[in-house]
Amino acid sequence: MNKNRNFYLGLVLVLPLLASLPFWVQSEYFFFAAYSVLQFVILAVAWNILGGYAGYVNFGSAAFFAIGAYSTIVGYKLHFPQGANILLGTFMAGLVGLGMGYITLRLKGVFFSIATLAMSVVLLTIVTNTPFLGGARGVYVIVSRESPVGTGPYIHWLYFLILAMAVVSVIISRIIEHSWLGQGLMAIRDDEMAAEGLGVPTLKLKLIATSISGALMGLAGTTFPYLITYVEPTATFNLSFAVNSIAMPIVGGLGTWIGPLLGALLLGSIQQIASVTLSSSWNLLIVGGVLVLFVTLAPNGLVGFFKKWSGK
Amino acid sequence: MENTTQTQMPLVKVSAVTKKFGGFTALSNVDLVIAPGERVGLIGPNGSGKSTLVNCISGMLKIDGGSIEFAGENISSLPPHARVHAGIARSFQIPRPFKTMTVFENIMVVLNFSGNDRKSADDLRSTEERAMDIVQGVGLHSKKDHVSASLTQVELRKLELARAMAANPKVLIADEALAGLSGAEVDEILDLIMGMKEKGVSVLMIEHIMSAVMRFSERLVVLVAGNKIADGLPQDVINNPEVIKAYLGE
Repeated sequence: MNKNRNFYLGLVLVLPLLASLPFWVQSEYFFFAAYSVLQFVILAVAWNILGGYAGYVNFGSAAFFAIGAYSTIVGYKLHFPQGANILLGTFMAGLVGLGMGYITLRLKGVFFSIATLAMSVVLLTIVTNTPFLGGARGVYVIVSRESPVGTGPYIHWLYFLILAMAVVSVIISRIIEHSWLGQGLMAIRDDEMAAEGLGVPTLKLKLIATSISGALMGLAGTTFPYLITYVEPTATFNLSFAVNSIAMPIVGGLGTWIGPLLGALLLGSIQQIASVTLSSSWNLLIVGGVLVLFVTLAPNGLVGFFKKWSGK
Repeated sequence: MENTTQTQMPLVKVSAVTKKFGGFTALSNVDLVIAPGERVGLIGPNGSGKSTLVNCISGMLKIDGGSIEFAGENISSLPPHARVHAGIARSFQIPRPFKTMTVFENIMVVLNFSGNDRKSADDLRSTEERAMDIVQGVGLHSKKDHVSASLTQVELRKLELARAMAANPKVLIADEALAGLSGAEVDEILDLIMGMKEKGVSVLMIEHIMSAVMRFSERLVVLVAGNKIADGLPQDVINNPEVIKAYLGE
């Protein structure tokens, strides 16, 4: 209870500060960078729900992200309002998560991971060959120049959206961690056979996890078209989404709600800084380097490192 | 004992169960009946199909023939977790704790998921209190907050039993719960299993330690090469020439 109070107290203190940034930070680029970092927060937190809690490594994050993005394209073409597109993408990604889970969750370990990777390739092929979705050429989205809430440029509005989505994702992840669902998923991670043999409905819990995890990854993708205004398969199914959503929870600390958050803030920020000072082509190299560093020196991530350091 | 099982409805009724692994028949037409509150010992040489039978009853393995009934219901196609909800709990031959969790959390998982979290009218304890009672019952209270990966072999065996008990089963299947323990430890764990009878729980125990089997069993069943060759009072069974032949050879 005490921990709960501290969490929401922290949220109440930090959130207004983050939400007020557009009113006193001048640089527009800053919000592009912040958007990117927050987008990775959602992806990392979402990946952790299945990968960290239940121990099922999903290589298909980019596919779920793309489902969110392309659902928005569909909604955009059908003249849906933005809010509807966000809900549509989240729902579709959750649905695909459920379906993918149903097909692949009987596979264990690396076989499951390869199946998720295969799904990503299949979806990429489908999108590339569907003219309605822009095919390989891509599709344009026209957004207004100004933020609809009147704080300045449109990126401010996108920043508010992704901030809200990130907060929702973190809260959902934290609620799961402390609920019966999280407990069951962790039992599955520790020993799936024992869990099933002691009454844990493992398939049902895993399906709930893939659905929620997929939905949140899709959520992260729903506003992506409004950010880049030109959506094409290579950018949307980018390797960087799949790699980062695995690397960030590992660097932050698997299986805790705060681990992926810290990992995404750290790795996301480093990549944004590197994009400005060096070149964005350094990004994946940096992720790889940091990952190697953490796996060898702090295998339990930042969370594990802090715990050890504080002697708890 | 045969009479009692015939007069009242059996709790577990295994009928003509067959299980094959490729071309190898691990169980062929095995029948087994367990009455409510009965303590049954299951013995047999290595590879005779004891664990396979346990895995078929608990649902870890799908049977290739025959049927398994529990309290009159055919449960042959139920997944393992549903059988736990029905009232069948098992401990594993090699302890399989949830290793990143504490002893207490291990018990809490089972209480929360086995359908045993609902409070009855005469039991107003919270789930935490019940978990604490179970931990205390097996003598692990001093290790309550220890991560289960740090436990010793005896403690792991106790935890394994405690988790099975936490499911509040009508029948407990103990798969070699005593393997690898010293004499005093065997008695300690055996007392725990024997104590289940007072709660009206049937127990099916697989065991190699004969002194423990004889002390424990009200009825003894012998499997050899996937076939049941004896089923009756322990004293009669161990004097059965076929059983002696199976264990000692011609």
